[in-house]
Amino acid sequence: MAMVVTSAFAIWKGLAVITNSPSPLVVVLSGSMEPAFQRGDILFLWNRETYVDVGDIVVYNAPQRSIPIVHRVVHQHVVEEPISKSKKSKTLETSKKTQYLLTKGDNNERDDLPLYGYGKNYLNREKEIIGNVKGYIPKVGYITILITENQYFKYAMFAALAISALFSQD
Amino acid sequence: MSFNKVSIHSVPAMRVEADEHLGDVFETLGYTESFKYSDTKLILGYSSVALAGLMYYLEKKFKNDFTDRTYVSYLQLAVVSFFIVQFVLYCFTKFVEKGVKYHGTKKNKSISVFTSTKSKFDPNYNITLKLDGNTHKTTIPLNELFFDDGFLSIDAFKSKITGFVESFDKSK
Repeated sequence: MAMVVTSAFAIWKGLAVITNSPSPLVVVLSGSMEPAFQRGDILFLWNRETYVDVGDIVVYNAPQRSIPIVHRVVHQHVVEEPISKSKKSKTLETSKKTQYLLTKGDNNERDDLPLYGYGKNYLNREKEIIGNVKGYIPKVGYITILITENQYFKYAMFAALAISALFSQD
Repeated sequence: MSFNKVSIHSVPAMRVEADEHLGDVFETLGYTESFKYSDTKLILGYSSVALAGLMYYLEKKFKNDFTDRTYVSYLQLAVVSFFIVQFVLYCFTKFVEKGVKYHGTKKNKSISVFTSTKSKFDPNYNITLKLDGNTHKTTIPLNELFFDDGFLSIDAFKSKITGFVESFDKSK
């Protein structure tokens, strides 16, 4: 039993390391990207590109709430910023390029500016983007939505597990 | 020596119960059980659980911040070592242990016992013994080893195994 839990956790962490994304699989929670993605789709993320392109669909965590948001990049710009001297840097580079993004849900009327929080106009590619969507499985993730949003479904699932444990005499 | 009541209609349950008492049977034949296989597996299993625990601790400590290079490199190290340990464990079970149910020694003789049933409806308990490189096989019907109430008859089990071992191992 412990082996199953730890293996699942390690596979999850292994995927995170390979994709360089803290959460390599994400379930779509809102309809803001319809008709591309529906509620309950599972998305596969990849986070190894230095820059993302306009038109890519990215996932980020909204600052005020801790739910992942899946939206399309509509504007981007790259800014060359000096590296602050307080940090010890072994490289000779004095500046680094940072990409800033503006996102919008395909099904939303307006861009995501209100979601970013007061005084913030763009998302930082390196710091705030969890990953770039590379593939999806429709509907499968709906089970996690049911578990988190419907308490009776949770009990029904426990009951089904208990009953199957009773009858699975090897 | 503890006995469990098992369903006498379930071949796998009887096989597991018989497997668990192989140690008692071979003890009466003068063998001492060697736990080196199960110890190795336990060490490997516990270290992989510890590595997963370490990953969880790192996640909490660095708040799962993938822009932090130190966190990512620690995590990479932990993930790689976890899968190496799991691979070693898999190879050990598959190629070294190979389904050994009992491993024992007597003076400088070592014995390995493999047991199996053909299917879950076939009560014939196949026993393969490896004694100093020689293989011996026998089959005991499991229903002859159990009482009607579902408990293992250790005396019946002992006499069957003793008779089988003494047929080829004359030394005391």
